Amino acid sequence: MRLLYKFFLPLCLAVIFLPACNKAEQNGAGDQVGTGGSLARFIITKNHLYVVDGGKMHTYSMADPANPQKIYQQDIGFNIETIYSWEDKLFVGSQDAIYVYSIVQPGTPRLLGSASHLRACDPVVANDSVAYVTVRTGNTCGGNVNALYVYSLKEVLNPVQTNILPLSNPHGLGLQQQTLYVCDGAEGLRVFDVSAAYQPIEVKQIKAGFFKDCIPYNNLLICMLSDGMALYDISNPHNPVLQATIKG
Amino acid sequence: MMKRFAIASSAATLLLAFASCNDRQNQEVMGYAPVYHTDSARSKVSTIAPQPIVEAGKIYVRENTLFQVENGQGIHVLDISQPDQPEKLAFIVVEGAQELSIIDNILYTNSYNDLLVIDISDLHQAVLLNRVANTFKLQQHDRPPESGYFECPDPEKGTVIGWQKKMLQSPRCKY
Repeated sequence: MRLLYKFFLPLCLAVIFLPACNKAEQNGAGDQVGTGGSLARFIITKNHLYVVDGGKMHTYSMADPANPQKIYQQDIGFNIETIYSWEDKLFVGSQDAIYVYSIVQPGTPRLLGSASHLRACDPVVANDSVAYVTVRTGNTCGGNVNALYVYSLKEVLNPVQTNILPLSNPHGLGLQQQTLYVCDGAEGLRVFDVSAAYQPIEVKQIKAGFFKDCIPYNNLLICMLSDGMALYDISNPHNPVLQATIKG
Repeated sequence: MMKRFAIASSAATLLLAFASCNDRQNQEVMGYAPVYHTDSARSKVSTIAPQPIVEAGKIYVRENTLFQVENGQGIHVLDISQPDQPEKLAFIVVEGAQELSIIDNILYTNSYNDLLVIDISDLHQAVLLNRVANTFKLQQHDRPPESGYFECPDPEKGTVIGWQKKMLQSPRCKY
């Protein structure tokens, strides 16, 4: 836990983990669940709704979806901003840390605090994973770094920083297969080839507004702008083609 | 190193926590006054005609339907089955909304610190099914966005959901 804290101390905001593509939510029993952006504080998975506020995580049972019941509440830390799920884990992003929780028992998320537990997780994720994290300055974020950080997650509890790419003012981000889309504020949308997961290569920059977040959704990239939305066709993942802008 | 940081940050937190309540007697100064949310203001959920996007919030997609939060006001619903011709379908009025998630035909969002459960089987007529009141603190406004003088919040008046900058008469709080 301490190592984790130390490594992620300067980090702020959105987190995305490979090989997950986006905030695709998988719920049990074939329920149809949609996809949110990387900035979300709500996430539904495993028949539970998880909500993070500034300091706590709240767990609701969705056994009866029309009547969610809060079954658990726990302190996480300070300045919590985002939640993300991957298989049986929740990744909670705060302004200065990432917290990894096990939801093997979905009703009682448990902070993963030991390497031994780590070795028990799904080896595909453990061997083949990377975390992309955006760090930005801003009145609520503090710090003086604007960058994309790349972390090896071969050991989830002992992430190793493998790369830093300076950016302008990155917000949310979305990942689909081997393409990473980073919303870099006024500098627009940046497209990275992440075939080499730890060595993202910028292949395109689209300056067309103030980009805050994006969701790759099959052949469509849905972007949240400061003043609306933009839809891009990403049949060619490296070359998003504008379909429509929705403003006003 | 970590310990030192921890100590320094706890000290800073303590300092902030005990933001002084100064007397600024008989003086008019620019500062912040709390905006309260009272039970009676808890809005009903309704669906109205499409609205302009003003305070663009978080996005959520399910199949051919795209949702964007209008921060503090509700949720825009759009049909994107033809991505080059997205069409606004409706606007779901939810006061204090910031977040959303969907399972089947049920949409979960927040109205300030309440969790709302909304049936969206008919996107043109969303129906509030349930409300879990005061269940989290997505709205946490213990102090104004800027340091300076402010009117001390009065819990009797309800939950503080924001701050309004204005001239204050002898404000008693400052940080």
